[in-house]
Amino acid sequence: MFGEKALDLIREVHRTREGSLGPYNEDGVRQVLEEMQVLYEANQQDVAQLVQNDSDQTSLTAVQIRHDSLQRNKRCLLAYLYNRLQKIRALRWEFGSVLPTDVRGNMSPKEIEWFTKYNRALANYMRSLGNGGLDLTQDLHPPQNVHIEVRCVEDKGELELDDGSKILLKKNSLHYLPRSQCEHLIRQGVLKHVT
Amino acid sequence: MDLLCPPGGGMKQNYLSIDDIMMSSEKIPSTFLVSVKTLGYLDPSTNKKDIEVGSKLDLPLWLALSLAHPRKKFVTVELTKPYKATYREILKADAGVVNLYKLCPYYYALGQQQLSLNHAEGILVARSLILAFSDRFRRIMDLSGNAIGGDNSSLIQQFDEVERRLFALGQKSLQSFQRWEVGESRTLRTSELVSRHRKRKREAVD
Repeated sequence: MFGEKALDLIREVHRTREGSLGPYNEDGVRQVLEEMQVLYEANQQDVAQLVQNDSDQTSLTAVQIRHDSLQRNKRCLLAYLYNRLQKIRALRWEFGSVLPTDVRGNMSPKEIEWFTKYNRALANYMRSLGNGGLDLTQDLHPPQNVHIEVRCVEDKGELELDDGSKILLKKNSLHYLPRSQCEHLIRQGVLKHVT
Repeated sequence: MDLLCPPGGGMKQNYLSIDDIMMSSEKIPSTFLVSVKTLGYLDPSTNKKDIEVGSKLDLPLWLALSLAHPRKKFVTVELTKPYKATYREILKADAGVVNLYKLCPYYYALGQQQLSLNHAEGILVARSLILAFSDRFRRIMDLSGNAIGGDNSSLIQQFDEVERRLFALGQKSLQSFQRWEVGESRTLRTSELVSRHRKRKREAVD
């Protein structure tokens, strides 16, 4: 049946909806596009015949089936790309503007381009807010204290704070830091909030 | 997730919904009322060039909906098995013990979609769907709002996709309520996406 290849793409998204981004299936997308090309050409041929010979309507059903299949394939492809973009957008808010290399490796060149553009648009928007900009990815929950205690989960080297002082992020070391400086690192799993 | 837009609703409301696309690929037994030229290879049971009048074929829902449209009438469709009288009787007896996921992962949505195909039994199917859902819903809510830590996988296996979504939602709010109770909701945590990503990486290393 037509549309099976496209459904495979959708199944892939469905399988990985809980996890992180799966690899971009370039081969699958190409195969769907090829199927669509074949369907389209067959339809063009049949329609041209229909126009020439009005009395013969028998190929109309086939045209209809191919047309529906084309629409279906288009829908699957769009949904595949759209749902990936949704996930990539969520990644921007969770991982920050720099994605881990293995996530990046799962993206197509066009998706990387989209991510860069999204990054830029978001940065521009955040800069335009208030006086001197507002980081929307900060304080996703209302803050209770200005400073919080954190434990370092992995060796991350030096971190320079806004006031110029430097601290060394060593595994299992404890720090008392301004919340605004470490919220990102907690979300990225580098630090752990201790209460 | 998009609980407000459950599968169903078709192309117009849910064009980009993965669930709706999965649901609409379920096979519907159909009989052709017209012949279709040159597409005989879609029917694996024959080697003929064309699909002939009267040949039976399992068409995916998206195609069946279009071809069975009252204005076209290229095919007639049958109700799929899990919605027939036998299964309706089972659901009526005790919907709670039926493994809906096995019958169809999108049981309610697919049933709903088939109503628009004007089956004679349409109204009976609709009634059975509502009864089955209300029967099962109480137990799902009860479970999702109270079950903590235990292994519910054998029960969840019987839920259809919408029910699973409901269950997960209830569990999530139960968990965040508990976190709030012990005063943990203020603690900043690693984002879920990131920790899931790490877990996967660790698996790959092992």
